[in-house]
Amino acid sequence: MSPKVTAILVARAGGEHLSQTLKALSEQTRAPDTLVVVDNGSRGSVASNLRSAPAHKLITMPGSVPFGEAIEMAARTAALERADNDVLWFLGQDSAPAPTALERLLGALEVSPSVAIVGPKQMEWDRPDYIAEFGLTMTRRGRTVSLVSEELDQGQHDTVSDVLAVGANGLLIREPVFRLLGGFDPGLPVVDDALDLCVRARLAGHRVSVVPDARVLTAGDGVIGPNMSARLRARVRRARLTRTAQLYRSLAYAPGFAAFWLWWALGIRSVLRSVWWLLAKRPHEVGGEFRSALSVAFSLPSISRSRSQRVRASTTGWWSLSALRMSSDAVRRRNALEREQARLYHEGARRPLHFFTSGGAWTTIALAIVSFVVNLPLLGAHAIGGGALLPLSTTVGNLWGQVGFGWRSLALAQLNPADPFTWVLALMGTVTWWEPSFALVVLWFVALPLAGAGAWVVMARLTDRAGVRVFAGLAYGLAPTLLIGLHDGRPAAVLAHILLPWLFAAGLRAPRSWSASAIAALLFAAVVACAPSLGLALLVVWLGTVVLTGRYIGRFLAIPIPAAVLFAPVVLVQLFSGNPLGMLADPGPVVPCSDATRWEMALGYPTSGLGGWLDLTGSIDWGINVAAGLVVLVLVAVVAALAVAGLFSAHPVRAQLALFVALLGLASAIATSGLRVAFEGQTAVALWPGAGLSLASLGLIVAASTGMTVLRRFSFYPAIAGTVAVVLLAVPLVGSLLLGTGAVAASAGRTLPAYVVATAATTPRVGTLVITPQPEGGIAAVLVRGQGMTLDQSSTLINTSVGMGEGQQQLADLAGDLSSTGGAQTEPQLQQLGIGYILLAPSATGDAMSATDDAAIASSRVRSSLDANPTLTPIGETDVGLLWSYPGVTTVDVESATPASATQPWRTIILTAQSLVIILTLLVAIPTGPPRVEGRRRGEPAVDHEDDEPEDFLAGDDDEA
Amino acid sequence: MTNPKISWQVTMTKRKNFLRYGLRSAAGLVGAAIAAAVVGFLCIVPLPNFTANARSQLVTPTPTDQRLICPGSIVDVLTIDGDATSFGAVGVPEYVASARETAITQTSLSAPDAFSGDSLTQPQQLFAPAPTTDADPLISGVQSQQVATESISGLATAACGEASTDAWLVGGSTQTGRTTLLLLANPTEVAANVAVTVLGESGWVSGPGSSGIVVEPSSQRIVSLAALAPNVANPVVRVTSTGGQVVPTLQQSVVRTLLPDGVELISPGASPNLRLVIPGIRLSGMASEHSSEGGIVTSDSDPAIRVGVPGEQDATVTVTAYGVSGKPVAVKSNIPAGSVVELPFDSLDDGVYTLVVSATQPVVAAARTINYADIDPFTSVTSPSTPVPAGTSTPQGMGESSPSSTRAPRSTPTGEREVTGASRAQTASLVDEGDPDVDVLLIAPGETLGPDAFGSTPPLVGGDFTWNVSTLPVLGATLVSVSSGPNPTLAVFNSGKNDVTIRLSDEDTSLPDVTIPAYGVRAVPLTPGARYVLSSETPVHAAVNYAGKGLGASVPLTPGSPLGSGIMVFPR
Repeated sequence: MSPKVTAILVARAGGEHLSQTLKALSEQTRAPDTLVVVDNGSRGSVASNLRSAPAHKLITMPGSVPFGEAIEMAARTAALERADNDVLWFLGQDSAPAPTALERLLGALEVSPSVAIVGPKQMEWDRPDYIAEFGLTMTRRGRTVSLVSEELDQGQHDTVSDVLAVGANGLLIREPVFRLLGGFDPGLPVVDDALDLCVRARLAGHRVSVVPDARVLTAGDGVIGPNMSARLRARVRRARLTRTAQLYRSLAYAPGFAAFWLWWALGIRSVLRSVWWLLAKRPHEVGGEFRSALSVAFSLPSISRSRSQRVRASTTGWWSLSALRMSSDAVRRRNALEREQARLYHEGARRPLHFFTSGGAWTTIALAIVSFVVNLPLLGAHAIGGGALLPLSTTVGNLWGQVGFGWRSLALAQLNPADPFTWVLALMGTVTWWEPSFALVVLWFVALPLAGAGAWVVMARLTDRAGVRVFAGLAYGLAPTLLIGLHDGRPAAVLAHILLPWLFAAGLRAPRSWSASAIAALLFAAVVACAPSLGLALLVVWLGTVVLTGRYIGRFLAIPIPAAVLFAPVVLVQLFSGNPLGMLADPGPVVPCSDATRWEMALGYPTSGLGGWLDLTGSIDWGINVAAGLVVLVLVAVVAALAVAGLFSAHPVRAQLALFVALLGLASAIATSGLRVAFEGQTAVALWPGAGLSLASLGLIVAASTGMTVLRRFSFYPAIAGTVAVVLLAVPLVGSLLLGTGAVAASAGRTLPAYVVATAATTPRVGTLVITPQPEGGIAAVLVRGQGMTLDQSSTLINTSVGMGEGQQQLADLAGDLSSTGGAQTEPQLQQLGIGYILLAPSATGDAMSATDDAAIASSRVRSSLDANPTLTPIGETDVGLLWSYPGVTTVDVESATPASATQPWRTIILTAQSLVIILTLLVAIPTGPPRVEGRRRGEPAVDHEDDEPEDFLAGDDDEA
Repeated sequence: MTNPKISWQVTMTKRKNFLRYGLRSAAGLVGAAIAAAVVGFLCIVPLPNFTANARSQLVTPTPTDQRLICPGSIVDVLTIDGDATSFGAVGVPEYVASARETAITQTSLSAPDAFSGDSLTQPQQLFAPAPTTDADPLISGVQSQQVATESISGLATAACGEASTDAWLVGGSTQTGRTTLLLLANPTEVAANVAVTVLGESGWVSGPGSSGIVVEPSSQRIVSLAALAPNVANPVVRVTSTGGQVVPTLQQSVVRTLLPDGVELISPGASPNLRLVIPGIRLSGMASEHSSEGGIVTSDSDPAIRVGVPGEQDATVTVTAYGVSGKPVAVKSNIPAGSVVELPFDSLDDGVYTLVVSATQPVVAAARTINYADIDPFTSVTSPSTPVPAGTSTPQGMGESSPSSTRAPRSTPTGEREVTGASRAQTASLVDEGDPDVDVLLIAPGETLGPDAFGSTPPLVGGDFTWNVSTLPVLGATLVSVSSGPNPTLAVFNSGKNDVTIRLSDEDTSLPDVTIPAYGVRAVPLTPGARYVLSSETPVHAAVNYAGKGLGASVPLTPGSPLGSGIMVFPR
């Protein structure tokens, strides 16, 4: 007696797929006895399809329900007159069966009574000769594995019959078994519902097999199983549902005790797996990971119901399934194959840079030699000083202690968040952990080659021509703004200049890889930390990139996040203190520079004097100065002309963008040079325009390099011309570095006299009042604690603050009283502030002759007064000024006024948030091989490699003539 | 023969290319124009800028006691007996002090090293107590003495100064015939432990006994510089003290071929600095000056600028002389580290000048001018038409508490040998060594002094020299005490970029305001023995110099006790 077949077709929407399925059903060689169509929330569109191919029964669900529930409902309605040999056939709107499918499936059931469930060979809808799925199994760890997927059907799998499980699509099950098992588990609404059903059937002593001759198409519409679309949203949802199902099953299948621990470990496992997702460059899976864990953690009743359901039906143990599960060897093999496939897929996107064969090594070596020669005086130094170069804290621990939030030693009991620059310094100092200040010496030696190599790499991403690449490397490595930064001793500006091309190089690769995107995010944060005034210009560049990028927008959106998190505390404090421009202040100590005029900045010089060209003649003769100025103008014009030529090249868009960046940099430099927000004594010092000029020179160099390619094969000649121009431009600056006329010199690594440093070794909080005579006859008073000012302790919040607090009032009164032989008692104040030393520093240099006179008066006044103060002991002349000591000092008051515990809550909050963001970005940034190929699913064209190239204007030169 | 179809295609391609290149060129031109416009815009159009104001506070201290120390009379070496050298005071100097808003008490410090019969030969302390009201007290003092003995002759004046722990004195010489004594007065209540270091033309000189010189409280010690640094032609002396503070003064006297040829008391100048100002030097007899060798002065009978580089790096020094009229004249020279050289006054005419010494490394400097016995410095320059009328023509007492603080010098000590002009000339003509120019100049009779010359002036013997020290600028009100001496002239130098108006007033009357242009020098004749107040809104450098035939001295104006005024503090 032939069994009675009830086909249940679940449809969510009418249309092409459904009508084809209905047509295929009507063409069956063995038609199902009953066809139940479940309209699963289609709002009537299914009914219109049914007009042409009527079903026996139409069940309309009020809304959309999971596939399992829909089947359950239909099975219940259809089973009014059930017999023991009834079978159910599960179909979806997109499951068009081959004409013989049902006949073959039924045949398989009939020949072996132990088989309760049979499944067809599922074929791809668009490519019906490709197998989409043919039997499922589980790994030892419970992951669902499809035995076959995306393979051309050549009959290679037709020998398979017994499997652990089959997919729900086209699944044929004996009705009594279905009833015994209690149907699909409502806890597995989308993914693994059929797998779970088959596993339970197996545990109940039935067999599950596949029928190679029975073919059913599947389009992955999401009626059965998840939507198989390649779009990111669908992928993310699929990954989450898969994970949820896996966690659910692991809890449902595990023995009771183990299940408890698994439940307990849900949280920590999701954290660990999130880290892995970041490393694997699939940050979009992190959210799903946590949602899965949460939803499983709160579905305990459902789990326990499914456990009892399984136990009730079981007749055999898990051991009976072990042969059908996938061995760990097989899993490894599969993973290896997958990786191989991914590598092949991504190979096309890789552009080797040819660092050694295309001038990169030579550029770097040449710049390294120049750098070595000009820095010879610093050879063997343990620390360098001058300009804004202060030593770093003496231990790595202290260095990291400055990061985040804390007491600022420069101020009177002032707690505030640290500049993001402290992160950069802490990282640098950790590299030379035995002597952190040595990192700055290293920086001075590697600055030229690193900057040059960075620009070389940027150009290497854009052109294959060695000459052009070398020009870019040399031009950027010898850029006036870098040389002046080195000359004047500005570590933050030098770092920003070095990091900038690397940021752009990473940004150019960001569309291709999450790793590059994360590296760009970190470099963005580092550059802005070193030069906050550049932040605005970089944000404009970022915004432009986001607008122009199109489909890879996701990889650019997150780039400013680390910078934003690092800057948030400082920005908030500056906003609340009503000093918003202060957030642009350069990190590190405030050092004035000779302000350049705008046309000097337009020529690329952040300070006046055209980088030594005006002094080169050593003459005050006006005519020669004009000549020197003209030489600079002509040499810069060579590069500018090449940049303009880029507009007429084969890559005009690239040249336009590069010139735009150059102009943006210039605008940023000129705008920042008009902002005087940080103070050195009484003088409000202009922001350093060099950072903007670094951006401008990078843009100009890229544009000029593009211009060189106008001559195609002969681009070598303009490259030579450009290189000669930039090298000649750098001659006076390199010369003055060589002669050691710059501010930078080897130092003893301290800013206070050795006498004070020795005391501070035993009394770390001892204060030193540093008095600096000011150009207009006033004095600047700064209280420094311990061994003196370090680069990492400096804070832009203190450098830019304008309000007169109680502490500043007290300090001003004390300094004024000490500078006058008045009747005021200074001793209690010295004691209260824990001041053990008073240092009279050399006068601040003003440019007017009379200004220095005023400072000299103030200096002599302070000196006489301190000499006459009976409570002070003169110590005498030191290398940094005149020193007096107050022998009776104790720092008890200070220690009680600035307890370490006060830093705790904020420090923890800020540090945790910042470290979290940085570590997460770092995890994404670590390259972990090519990402898995995703999204090549039916219904979507296979992703072609050409599409993965970046936008046209960033593409490499194609004029390989 | 071309296939027409192919040629049609070629034409199409060409046309397409033409179109493409045309479009690209147009876009390029537009882009270049925009770029140029933006650069021009950025360079020309004013952009908003912002300058924050540093927080500051004016701290006004409570006024306090003031003390000035005058070094006391000129001393002569009496005997040299092994290590022990004894000194004797020569004559009594005239002291002129002035005070505003306070009264001065004058007391003497003990001078155990110098034999004397009069307490006024000892160093004098001018003391003004802290005011109890809001008054802004000022005091100043000057001493002056003209002597003529067989070993010392000339005019020596010195400002009364404040004690310090570190002072630089530029002047003196320990070569044969030159006597340089270091007078160390300690006005404090604790003993001062003084160290003296000497920088000479060939580096630092460290002689025995140069450190650990103990100066007892309220007393003066005299040290011969020759004992510390023998045979140094151009010494620069640094005096540092611990414990008490001292007022160091150098006394230099020259004997040229057995005849005294000038004496000078040298006050501390400015500390090593990149820029020094030596105001108000008076050059005379420059027409006959041609004695520099390779840009360096070798004879101390020539005017010179002594520059010392105490640091460890060579300095490039530019000395610019600003005159009352005419263009400034600059001399540039490289001076090795740790050395002292004397630079000449090249191509300068007679007159009053201010020297600005700027250097690439900190330097100390002073200028020596020569007062030839036969040249009247006022014949070649505009002589002060009328002496400035002072409130009283004779010096007055300094206050009720010190009725006899000002004195005329008494008779010269015993052992004085009067040398007439004739015998001087005779003696000089017998000498065949030395600078012939100078010898010729020495043949001159002793001259009577100016209208306010000393009552019992010793006859003048030979020429004189003057050390003009570098000064700190003065600001606001400064008291100027003028002693007796020939032709006292106040020279004021404006080192700023803007015009400065100064006002000079004596007790009752105010003189017309004088406006000094940038880098300008003005010389104002003063009345001997008078007291003035110099007022200036901006810092100026000033000195009072005295010059007559064979007589010369200079007294720098030092900032008048700035310690009591308010100071602007910029805390951070």
